[in-house]
Amino acid sequence: MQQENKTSRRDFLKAAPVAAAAGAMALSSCNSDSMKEYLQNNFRTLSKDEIKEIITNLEVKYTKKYGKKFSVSAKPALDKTLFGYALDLSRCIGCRRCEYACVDENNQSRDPQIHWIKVLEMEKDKGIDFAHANIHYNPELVPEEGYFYVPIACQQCKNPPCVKVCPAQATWQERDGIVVIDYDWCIGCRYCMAACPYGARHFNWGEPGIPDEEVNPITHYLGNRPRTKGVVEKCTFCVQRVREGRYPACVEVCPVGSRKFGNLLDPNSEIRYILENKRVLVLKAEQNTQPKFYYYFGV
Amino acid sequence: MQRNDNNSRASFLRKASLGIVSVFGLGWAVMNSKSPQDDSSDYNLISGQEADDLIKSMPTAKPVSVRPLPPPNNSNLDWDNIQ
Repeated sequence: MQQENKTSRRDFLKAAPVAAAAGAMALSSCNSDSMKEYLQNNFRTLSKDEIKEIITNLEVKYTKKYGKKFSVSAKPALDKTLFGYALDLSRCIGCRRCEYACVDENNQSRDPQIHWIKVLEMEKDKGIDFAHANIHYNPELVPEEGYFYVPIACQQCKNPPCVKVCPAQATWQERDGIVVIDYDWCIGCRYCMAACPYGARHFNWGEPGIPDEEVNPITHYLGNRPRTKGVVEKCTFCVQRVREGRYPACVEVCPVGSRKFGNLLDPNSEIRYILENKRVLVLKAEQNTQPKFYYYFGV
Repeated sequence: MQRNDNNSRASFLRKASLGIVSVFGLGWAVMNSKSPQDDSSDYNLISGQEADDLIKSMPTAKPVSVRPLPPPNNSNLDWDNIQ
């Protein structure tokens, strides 16, 4: 028995340097940039200089990878701004233009496919009924008689359950109300997906597939910059656009003008007019998530 | 006598401070015991039933009639139905 123990200790001592050498080789084979990315702090705790350095490294990396000049913004939330969204259910025709504009703008994976916006077709007789909603409708022409359409994406809740459950604090709400994700801190546990009552979060089960020529090089660190396998992503109201004073891509592309976007803190904004003068609803109000995505009836 | 006075003053102060803490505690509890629904109705939101009634009476949107873009596939094993 004694002999066996001595032998095993000797075996261990023999194996230890070999394992250490293998570990060192593995570490040296990692490129120093990816090690830095792996070890970097949460975005919220980074200094301005650190952010600048990280952004520069990312721009170089993406430019090299996709063969086009990339810009990665880290623009913070604007003062006195709280973004809100309104969608006119009586106008939406269910054409899915918004869904695909979102894919293009936000560098969502084409294969395997990720769509941040889902357009649900529902029967008018049943009202808003998620249990019988159909996202795979494919008639010759829309809108179809007897149906209405409910596009759904992240509701940018004031009381976001996804943020509360994240064990890594990789997702949070910004001052302008947008819920964002630090992709370098996401550990892929998918608790947030389980917590979201709107099914708005999507997981990269595989390495995202985006053809180089289709990549949008105008990105934001917390928004549409290319993601990797194993992280969760979702709509950010096109943070890379709205913080520059532009509309989200889905608002711009909607052929019937059913999508409205603006600053809830501005009493003269279009969105405030809608909220104060139209019949407005939020989805799953009973969950007390307090969405900033409102649905209304314009006609 | 002096000792008794001191005791009663200390006892009064103890009770008074307990009372103040209780009143503030109760106030805080009342302030935070609002129904969750109170917060979500900033903009005169209509109820689900009202929305369903409006949907039933709503005409089909027909400013245009177009071919929809293709439906999503399930290649990402996504949670398709948010039931």
